[in-house]
Amino acid sequence: MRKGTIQGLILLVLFSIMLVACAVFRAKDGGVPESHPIPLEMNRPQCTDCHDKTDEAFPYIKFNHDVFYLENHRVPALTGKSTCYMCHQEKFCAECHGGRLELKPSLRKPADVDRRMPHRGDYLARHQIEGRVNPVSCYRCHGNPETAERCVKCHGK
Amino acid sequence: MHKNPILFITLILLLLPATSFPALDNQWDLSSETIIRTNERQDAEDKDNLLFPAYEYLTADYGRPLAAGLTFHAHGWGRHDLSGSDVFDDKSDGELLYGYLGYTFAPGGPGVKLGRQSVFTGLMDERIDGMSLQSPISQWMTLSAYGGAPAVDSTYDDRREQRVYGSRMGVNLGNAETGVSYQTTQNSEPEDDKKLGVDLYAILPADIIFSGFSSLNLVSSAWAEHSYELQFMVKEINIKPMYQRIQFQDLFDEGSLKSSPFRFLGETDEVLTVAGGDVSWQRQPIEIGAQVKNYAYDQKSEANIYSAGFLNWTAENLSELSLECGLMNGDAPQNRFILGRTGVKVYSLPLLPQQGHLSGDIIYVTYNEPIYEQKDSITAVLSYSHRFRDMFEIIISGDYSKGPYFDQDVGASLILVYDGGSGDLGVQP
Repeated sequence: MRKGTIQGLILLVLFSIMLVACAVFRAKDGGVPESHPIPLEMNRPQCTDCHDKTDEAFPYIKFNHDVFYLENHRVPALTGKSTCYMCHQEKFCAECHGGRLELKPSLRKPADVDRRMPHRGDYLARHQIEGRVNPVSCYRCHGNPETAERCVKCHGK
Repeated sequence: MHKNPILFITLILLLLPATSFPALDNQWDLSSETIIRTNERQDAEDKDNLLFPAYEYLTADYGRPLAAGLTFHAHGWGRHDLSGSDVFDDKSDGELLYGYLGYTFAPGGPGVKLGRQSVFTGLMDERIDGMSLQSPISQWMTLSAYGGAPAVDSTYDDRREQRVYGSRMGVNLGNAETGVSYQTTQNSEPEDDKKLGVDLYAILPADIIFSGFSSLNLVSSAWAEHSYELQFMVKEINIKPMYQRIQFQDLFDEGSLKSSPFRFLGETDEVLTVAGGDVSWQRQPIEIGAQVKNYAYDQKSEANIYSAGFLNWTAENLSELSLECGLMNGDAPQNRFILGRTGVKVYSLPLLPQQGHLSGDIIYVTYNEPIYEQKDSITAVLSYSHRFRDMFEIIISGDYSKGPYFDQDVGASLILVYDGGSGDLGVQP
């Protein structure tokens, strides 16, 4: 292993310990209920409309469904899956992340214009530019062959 | 179920009891989406074909995903082209997206899942046919582990030979959590893939949230990715700066990757740094947002900046108007475009029934350099959705697209949704 990598790893662990130390004085989170205690409205929920930003040792601000939430939800979903399940069922995630999906999400849910679905509009043209600028965002979902079936027709196997 | 209609038929049979007896058992959530779509496509001989693909999406859930006791979850789709065209490779197709049995011993306690499932924890973000376990091992520590084969059909024989194993040890102290993950993909060419990851999340003083992750490629012994963000509020302004650093040869490595569009990236020494963030402010009925991200390439010394602005207006009856503009400004002339979008959702229209709503979306993009001799593209979608008896929804939608890939593309969809489980299509989609 490279010397720089080891040093980086040690720094990251020390940084993690420091962050945990910064935060540890607060009370422990008791977990989230199975579903939201009261039904929410059908628009994008803003948790901090009712809850304090980080009250009850819970980062409500992180789950505010602001206008950027769809493109930024990776980290909240990674660290707070049980919170997502309070309102969403697993099939909701599978509409975009299900694996081999023939119908793109914006065609499957044409009435949900407020969700700003990935690949809406003439994305086939735009993806040439966005793919060059940030191929990582494509790779997250299309990194394996079965989710890249559409890509193969032009990009080859 | 690729090329295998048996599973599709099984899924339909699963749904039948639900459609006949909506209150079959309050533990069961069964739902169906039937989509009949039509649009025109050219085949290999440039002949126009009117397509009529009919899609069926079926979901069966027994119990909530993280609830105690035995649970079952399955979701899949099937498609049959009702037209006589040969545009689709197979006239019928489909896929079981997930289907697994779960058992959770106590709320928040140990649990096991067996079957086809999506594993999204630590480093792993893939579907497997196998088993996963999650268990608290002390008041603060959680262990999760998974193993199996990538969930692929016989089309991908080389991937079916692979075996994926991984685990994550998490330490949760309420306001902070950190986890260390390990993942290996065996029988992978040219050598087994091995990764180590660290994810972090903490509520810091002044209510600042810090979160992100790093992944280390153990084969090349180099960092593949660092991805971190902060989130905090200043009065009513939500601020979210972010930073990413990706080393292409360590992220797009051959070992884990078989997808052609990215394969060549793993052979470069390129390092991409993404820095920027977004800001949003909301006070009913207005929400305003702005976003800036800079994509800087180390080797080709190139930078691209994407900036965007959003405006949302939401009425008391949830009718909504949104405006969006985006500007991609790259060093290379071909990496520049301007995007404009307006979306609208209207409830309680005078001539429409109370349970119906109308929605529309127009997206216009102009490219700095023509793509297939076209300088711009426009897409418009208009839909009417009607809900009744809290568990049924019918959507009629039409779309139009004109741009580099479509001269004058007109399409239409008829969508029938049945949600026999949650009883509320909006709250639990």
